[in-house]
Amino acid sequence: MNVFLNTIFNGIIAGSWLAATAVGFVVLWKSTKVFNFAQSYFMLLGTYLFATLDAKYAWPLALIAAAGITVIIAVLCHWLFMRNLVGASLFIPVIATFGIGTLLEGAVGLFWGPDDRQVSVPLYNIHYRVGDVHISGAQLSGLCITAVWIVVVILFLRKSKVGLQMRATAENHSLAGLAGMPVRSILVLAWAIAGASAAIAGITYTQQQGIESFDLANVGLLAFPAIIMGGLESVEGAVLGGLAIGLVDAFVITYWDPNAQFAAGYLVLFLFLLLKPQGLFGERVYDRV
Amino acid sequence: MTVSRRGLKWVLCVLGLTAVVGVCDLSLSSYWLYTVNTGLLLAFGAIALTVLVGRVGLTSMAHVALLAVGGASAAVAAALVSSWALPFGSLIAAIAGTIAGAVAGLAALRLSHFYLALSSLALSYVVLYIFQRVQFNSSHSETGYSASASNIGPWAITGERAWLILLAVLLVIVVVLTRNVLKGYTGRAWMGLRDREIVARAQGINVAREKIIAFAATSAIVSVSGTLSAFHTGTVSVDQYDLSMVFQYYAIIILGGLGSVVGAVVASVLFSVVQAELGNVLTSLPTSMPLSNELSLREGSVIDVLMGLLIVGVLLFSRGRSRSFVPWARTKISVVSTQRFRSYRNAGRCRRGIGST
Amino acid sequence: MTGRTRGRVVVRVEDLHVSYGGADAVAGLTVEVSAGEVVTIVGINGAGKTSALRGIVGFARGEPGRVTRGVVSVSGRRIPPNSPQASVRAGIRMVPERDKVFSSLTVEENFLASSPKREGRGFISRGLELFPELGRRRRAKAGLLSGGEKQMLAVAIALAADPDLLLVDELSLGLAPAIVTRLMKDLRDRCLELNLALLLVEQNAVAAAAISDRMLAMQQGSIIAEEQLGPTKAAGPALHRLLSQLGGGVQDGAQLPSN
Repeated sequence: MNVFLNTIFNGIIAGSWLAATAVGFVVLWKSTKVFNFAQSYFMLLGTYLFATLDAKYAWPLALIAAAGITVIIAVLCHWLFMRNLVGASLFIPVIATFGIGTLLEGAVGLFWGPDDRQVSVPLYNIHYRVGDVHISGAQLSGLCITAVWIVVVILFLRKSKVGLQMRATAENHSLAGLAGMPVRSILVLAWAIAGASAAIAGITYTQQQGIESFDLANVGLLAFPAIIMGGLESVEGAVLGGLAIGLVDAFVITYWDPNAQFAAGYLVLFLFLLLKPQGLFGERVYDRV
Repeated sequence: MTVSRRGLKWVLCVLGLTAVVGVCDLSLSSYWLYTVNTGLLLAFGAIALTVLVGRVGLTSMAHVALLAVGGASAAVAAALVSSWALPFGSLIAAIAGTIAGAVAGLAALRLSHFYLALSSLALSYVVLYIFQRVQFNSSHSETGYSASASNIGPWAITGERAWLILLAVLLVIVVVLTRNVLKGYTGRAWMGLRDREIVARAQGINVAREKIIAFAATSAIVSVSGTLSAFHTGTVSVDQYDLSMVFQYYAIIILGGLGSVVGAVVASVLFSVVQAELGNVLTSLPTSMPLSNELSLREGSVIDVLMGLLIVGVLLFSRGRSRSFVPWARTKISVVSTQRFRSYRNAGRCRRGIGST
Repeated sequence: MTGRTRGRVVVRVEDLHVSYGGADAVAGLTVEVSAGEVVTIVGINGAGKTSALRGIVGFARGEPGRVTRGVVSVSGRRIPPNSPQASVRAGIRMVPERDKVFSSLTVEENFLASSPKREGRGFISRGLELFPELGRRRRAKAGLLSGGEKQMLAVAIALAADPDLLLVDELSLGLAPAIVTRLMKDLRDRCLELNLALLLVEQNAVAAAAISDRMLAMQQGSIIAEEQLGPTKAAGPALHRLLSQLGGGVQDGAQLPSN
């Protein structure tokens, strides 16, 4: 087994779910200017929902149901809390997302308990070998699911009218309202996409680990380096950033120290912030007006 | 106010505080004293954060890193010196904290808002990782480092009562100093930074210097509180530090009112008390209540839920109002209400950019 | 054309009050605009003109202004205040002063995004018909257009929606005089053609006077004078009377003095 190639493959797998949640985050940020620190906690919620549902139903159904419930929760967060906090300040909503994240973490802990749990992973026992690379069925299915989701979201944004309206709203809420766009619905849709992305990302991550655990919330924080790397404003950039961070992590885990995962990822983030803050694909960086 | 009236006010405050401390000292059990002390230790970090976020307008998630630095200083001091370990460790922490803060201040010149918050998160991860590597490669990997020699020269600060007095004195000093700074030029400069940096710059405020000072000073306070905490607990280990502490601090400062120093202190003690008592409350719930079993076992999660609801609830409630949630803490500032208007669009535009002009 | 009758009152604004965090920017605006009529509000910077227009449309949640009093009715029906969505549905369209197009979208995408449900292609072609020069730039990003072209695009989008009332804020701002004259004339022609009510806000009173039926002078949130204009020779003296109310003698062709 070629360690190097396997590392690359693992990196891509890790990158795929990072990319998925990053996409949701960026869509939400662009549309609402909310920097959603609770994103990784949506991942947590989605995962635990999936594990419970998966025990009773077929896993595709469980996936859709878990993502659906997460979407509902995300939309509720927007409807009850976040949309009442919009205004001049940009970091009050951020602090609110701290609160929502903590709330979600507590809620998940209350209902499911804080212990790690085994998850049934379909296709787990199927392994492939492509040349010198070891691929498991779980990894492959995870990759496919996230890839499909990402492609769907990007196509939606680029090609559909609603996607266009989302981009317009993201640029200028006020003008979008004047032009007759259903701004309120668009915001709800943005939160829905964020929630679904997080759920899908969390579920595929768990599938690959085989264990659901609270650590997922921390792991999800690795999405931020990915987002910054790609440039906060670019969905495609988020995908590439996700893959890049996934690769960085895989190499750090294999060749150095598994505990250094976060430190390494965030060092990359820090370097980007210092040297190229608009990321690889970010658009014009404005100075303060 | 004439000088004599101000002097009288001071004397009354000091007497009042001494009375409060004395009452606590005499009437509270060791358990409660411990709880209050924990709250007082939290208060330092809370004051620092509430000033940084509420008065200067800078977000930071570096508290964990700074506390860890403080803890490390305590361990180092305890190992090197025994009779003056406490002040020595505090000094190291203060210096390290100031340096870290100054570096963060430099970063704050180029980055804004969430970028700054993310950088501070990056710092936290890196510091914790280094700490972990060092600890696990040492002989202390399981038990952590010892920091039990909490001595100031000939005085040993052992027992909760001694800690109460020490912490109360230190806290009073910090509160007084902070409030003086906030009322003075620096405080007003910081408010200028928070509200409209361009205007502040035009008014001749040295934005760079003020930001660095803000970060350096607050970081030093947090680090020292980490040292004191370490001595209070007696051991230092990397697993004492967790990212969730950051959210705890945010919950505390929201509860006390963003920008309110006294509010931060009150909220810290309240938080500590609630945390201590919640376990008891939950276990004594009637078993007929639904979820009572789960609730009693999952105390940590209940706290999380309450904290989360608190943060969101207070933010929603105090939107546009200029009073803090703790009514007797005189907060004149609420970040939400005094933020000048920027158009919806401009808010996204300015903030997206990194780097000040 | 549309079912609008010329001369019938389209919008009635009664006692509109707009406030920004406690400070009144508009204190009691009452105005009526009829189908096919062009009414212009003039005044210096800060007089409250923009706030008045925004107040008629309404402020969304999260925007800093608020309509605190007053009634806006379109075609006899009251519109709920502070609901841009309701206003747009009732047939009001507005071209704002700044940021009037979506810079990151192409010209075509700007049209498409602003088009009503199930209309797409039709909307785009209607819009491009109005200003054919936009057709040449249809795939260009709107942010790259010139000032005049952006204004054209914004007006085209608003008109393509076939509104009953069109509000335009500072059409002339930042544009060369020749373009201003041309745009104003185009706007007036469309207004007459489509029988829509046009309410303008302008600092360039002279240019606006050329196309207006009525002109109102606004100062510190209230209307202080009103004059009938129209394409008669009486326009000149009427305009002078109006502008003198605002203070200071104004030369022909000059902008209003800013404070």
